[in-house]
Amino acid sequence: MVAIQDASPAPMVDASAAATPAPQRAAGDSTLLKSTTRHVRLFTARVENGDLVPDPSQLTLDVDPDNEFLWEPPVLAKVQQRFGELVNARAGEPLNDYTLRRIGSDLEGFIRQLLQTGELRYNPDCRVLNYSMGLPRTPETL
Amino acid sequence: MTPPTPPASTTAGSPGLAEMPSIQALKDVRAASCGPVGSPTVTSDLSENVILTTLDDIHNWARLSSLWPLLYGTACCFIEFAALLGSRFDFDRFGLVPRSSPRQADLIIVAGTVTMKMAPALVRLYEQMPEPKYVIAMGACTITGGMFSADSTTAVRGVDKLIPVDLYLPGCPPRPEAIFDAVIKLRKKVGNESLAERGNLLPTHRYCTVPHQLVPTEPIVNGRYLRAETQQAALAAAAGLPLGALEAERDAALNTGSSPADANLPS
Ligand code: SF4
Repeated sequence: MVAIQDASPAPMVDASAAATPAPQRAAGDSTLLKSTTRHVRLFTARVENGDLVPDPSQLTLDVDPDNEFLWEPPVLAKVQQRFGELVNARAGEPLNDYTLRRIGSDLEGFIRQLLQTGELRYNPDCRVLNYSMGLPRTPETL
Repeated sequence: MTPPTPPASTTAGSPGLAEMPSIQALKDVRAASCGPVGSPTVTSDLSENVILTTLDDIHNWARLSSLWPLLYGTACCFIEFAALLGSRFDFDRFGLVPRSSPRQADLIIVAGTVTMKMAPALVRLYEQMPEPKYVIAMGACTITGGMFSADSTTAVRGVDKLIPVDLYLPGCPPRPEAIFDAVIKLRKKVGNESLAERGNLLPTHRYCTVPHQLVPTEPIVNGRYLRAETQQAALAAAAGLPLGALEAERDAALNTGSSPADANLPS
């Protein structure tokens, strides 16, 4: 389990506090933006001793923590390289949930491609066999 | 069988009450017709015996008899889940005690549509639950996206795209009886597990950190609308008045026949 040091959301102001303006947060200062799907977890954070520390200038990718696939080092390297490319391709765009989700879903699509070309395989020892990217098929059933 | 005795104290003038049998008579009728049994003797039977079992079995039996679900619901399916909590369907008899903290829950029944905006919250709740943990995907929305699967831009097409799902429970929404069926099937699954395999459940993190050139931006939703002038004017109008004063004032205005403008009421 990763301890995520998450900032509390922007406080709701009520009528009594409305007179004093709430202190403005610096942009992207402490809020951890994330896009989490089953195989791709993106955070605006860096990793220190296995913990995520919020850091608006870096993006951390965690690949498939639940081990639905068998990850050989070369395939994992491909995904991480693709992640770097996608992040560079979006230079200058706003850093928000939406951009992270687009990067994340592009990566999920890439992982699905790897699965369909046979470079990635489902892990039969996964805690549950969901086949969340489509049932495994043999050439006869194609 | 004792014939019902006439009521001991009857009140003259209330014929409805006079015809009612007394409590004692009701007890007699019940005792004569329900075939009463003695008190159960399970405990003394067990105390003179030796029970042989395996560690796995007794551990699983204890776990499956106390699956504590997280109180989690995002849409209409939760209404059926909430019905389950009440006395009509009585879900406590399966040992299910709803918990409001993921730290105390073994089971999350994902009841309702999950959107991409909700996804990080759901994944985080799942990560906060202690192992071993189970997931039931309840309803069409959490299995395939349901009626949102055709054209929604935000609904997640099945929570198995977010977290591992142990059991799919179809329906839109599933009846409470169907949820029981799912829980019973999950209990069978829990009963089949082995202590020796628990180590396989640990997550594996494959971190990769890169610097980026994206531009940090303020979040769009920040609660600032509550400080807007129109909002403050609306709040200020009501702030000075005690509760119920508005209604009293309006009533007074209606009774005296004066126009609402005289009473200085916000329309
Ligand atoms: S499956 Fe049907 S009842 Fe359940 S959340 Fe979706 S639309 Fe609502």
